[in-house]
Amino acid sequence: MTETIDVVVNGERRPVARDATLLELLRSLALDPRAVVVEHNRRIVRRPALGDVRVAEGDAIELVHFVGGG
Amino acid sequence: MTTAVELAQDTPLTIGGRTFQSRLMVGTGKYRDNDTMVRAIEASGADIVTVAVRRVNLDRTKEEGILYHLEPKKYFLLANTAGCFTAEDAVRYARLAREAGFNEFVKLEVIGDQETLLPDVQGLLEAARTLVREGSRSSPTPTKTW
Repeated sequence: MTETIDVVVNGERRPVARDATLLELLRSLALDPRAVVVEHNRRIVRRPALGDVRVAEGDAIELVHFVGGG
Repeated sequence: MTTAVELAQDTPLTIGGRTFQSRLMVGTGKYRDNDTMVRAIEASGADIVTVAVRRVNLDRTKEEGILYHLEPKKYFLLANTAGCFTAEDAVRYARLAREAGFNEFVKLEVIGDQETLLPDVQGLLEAARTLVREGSRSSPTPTKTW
């Protein structure tokens, strides 16, 4: 069984596999990395780096996208 | 079917070093479907199209992003911080939009009242100051736009 840790995604606590990358986190949430912008502990992580950054217990992740409005 | 509309030629609009052929700015909300939106925007002749930058709703992952439907070479996409209630959040979301490959423009909104959506003018100015210092071309929205 994979060990999980808790991270905070858009203000909600969520379990994620230990050592998961941001890219894996997006996949687990069924989100297309091309369609979202990722902020990790208040730092913006550019798309090419999403597979390199691993999450740790308690990390704050903010995911935004673009929707109709304006 | 797209209705061809005869467009009167306006004088170009220049803001912050960018020139636009149309002075009309159109939004992307409240359309019945994306196809209707795309056709309406095309028929409007507008160059500037506003889109909202929002937190992803994790319980509705099927919520579709809008960028798939708008041709980035054809329209100048203007990110809007609608939905932000503090200067800090508006600045944060404007930065996220810029990071997503948007231009240096932002339609800045800081909402002061949930019911009327009237702005928090002080917060708006504070956010605009911060963003302008960082090089954004901020267009504060001091009154409600429709």
